[in-house]
Amino acid sequence: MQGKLFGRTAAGGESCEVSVAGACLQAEHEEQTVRFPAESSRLSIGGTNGCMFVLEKDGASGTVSLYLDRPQSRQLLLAAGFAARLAELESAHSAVRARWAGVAVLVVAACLALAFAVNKVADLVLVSAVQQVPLSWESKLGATMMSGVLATATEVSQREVTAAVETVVSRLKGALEPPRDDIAVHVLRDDEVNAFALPGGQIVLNTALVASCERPEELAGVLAHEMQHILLRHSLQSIAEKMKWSILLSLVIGDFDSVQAAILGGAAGLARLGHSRDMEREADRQGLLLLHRANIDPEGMVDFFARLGAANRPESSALLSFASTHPGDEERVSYLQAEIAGLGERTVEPLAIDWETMRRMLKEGSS
Amino acid sequence: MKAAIDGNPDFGNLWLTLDAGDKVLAESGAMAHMSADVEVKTRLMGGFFKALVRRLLAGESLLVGEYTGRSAGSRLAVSPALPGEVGFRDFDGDGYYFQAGSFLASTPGIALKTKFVGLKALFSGEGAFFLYCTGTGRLWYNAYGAIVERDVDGELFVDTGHVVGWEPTLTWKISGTGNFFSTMFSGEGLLLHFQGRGKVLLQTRSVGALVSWTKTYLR
Repeated sequence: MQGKLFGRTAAGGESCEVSVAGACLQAEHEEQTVRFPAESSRLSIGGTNGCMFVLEKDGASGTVSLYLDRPQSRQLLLAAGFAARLAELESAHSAVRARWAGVAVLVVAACLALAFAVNKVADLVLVSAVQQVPLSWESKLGATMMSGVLATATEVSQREVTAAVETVVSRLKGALEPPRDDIAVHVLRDDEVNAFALPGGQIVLNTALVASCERPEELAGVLAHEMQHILLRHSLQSIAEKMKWSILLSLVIGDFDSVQAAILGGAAGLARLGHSRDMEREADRQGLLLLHRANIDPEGMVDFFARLGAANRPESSALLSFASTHPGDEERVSYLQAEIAGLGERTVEPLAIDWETMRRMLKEGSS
Repeated sequence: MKAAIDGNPDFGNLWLTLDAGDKVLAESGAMAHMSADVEVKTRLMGGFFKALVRRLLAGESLLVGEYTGRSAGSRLAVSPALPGEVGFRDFDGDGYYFQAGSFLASTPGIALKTKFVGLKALFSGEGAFFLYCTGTGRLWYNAYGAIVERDVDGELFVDTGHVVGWEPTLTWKISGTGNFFSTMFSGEGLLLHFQGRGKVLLQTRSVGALVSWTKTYLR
């Protein structure tokens, strides 16, 4: 193989042919031979990024060095009797590499820990920032979004339906502490089983959802859940949560235009709000407490979600969209039941609504 | 293929006369003029992924131009962006490191690999990637100012902005100038500290120095 010989002449490195000669490595250049005996030559790792073996010996006119490409020359060195020194060098070299790998792992771990801490701090900042947003802003935002929703939907005006819904809503409102008079419920004609809350107090119920409730207590369960989203200001939190990562990323990159874009984008994404599972669970729990305070049978909520779960099997579809953003059905039913078991005794007052008539009216209205 | 360099050392320029089928790779955008019988293709240097990483981390060009002569006497002129000398190195199975911006052109027998030379290089101001060239053939490089070749036997300290290339027999590390204070305020900044035996190619001017000199007039 080829090597590079230094120190034999003053003219820098010379390419040479390297071979094994007994317990020596010999380099030949222009019919001259330089031998590096394993006994007396020094072997080290050198070159850029440790890519070479360096063999050195002291001659009459100074040190002579032979540079060899590392992976290729290993066999040659072993054959020439450098095995012991080679093992020593390579273990030292890999120890250094291992140390650097350790440093790299530490650096990565530190970066992850930092990211985690920044995320936690950002969460705390966001939660308190959301609490600072005045209710009037939130209502204005909700009203704007509601007018957007109403622009493409038909609101149900049948007296039997609105009155039934209003009965449930007013019973729940009566149990709110402190009272809130800005909560408004809209029933929209839509075949998708869905309900959602907009910031500031607007709740939308689709007719398909109302019709799928087998008794008013089930609707009360859905409404109690949605009201809690409003009271707990989950919409604002979701917006903030959505913007958080893009804002953090932009800050890291140092691109402030995209911070602005993220804020605008977050506001634009309002129409498709989804809440986190934690928020859904919180709304479930607080919703149950509200039902309890309003003397409404909390089993209605459980029944509705259980049926949602049953319908949410592969072959079904209509109930799917509401369920998709909500906790796993079996898990949800079981924790709801555990919550109910923990509620104190309370006399349940039935909701005085002719539910079957209302459902019939809904169906007639849709045909 | 015939090659001639003129204009050295101030404004070096490479003239190539290709035979039919001769190929040459040149830095993207460095072609100054060519005859109509030269075919041009664009290629990624060092493979797609590496080229992409280089683009993202080192901000260097992804592309090289591949020029093929279609008839005897096809002519091509390659001019580097910076004023300075153009040099060449003949490869005979050996390797050489170049600072990535130094590459001007090469014959097809030379493999151009982008080598990540460690995070330490990020502090060198020259990027963490260098060009490692191996194979057989000729490679043309360019410098800012004139090219000086130095034999290292022992140690050599070089301002990071003055390095063009070096032999792989040399080890290098980044070092400051004296203590922390003088590193920060001497104006010398960081140095490449070469150790071992081999050749280093240097340029007599540094772009970084020009940039900071120019800045004093921009206020």
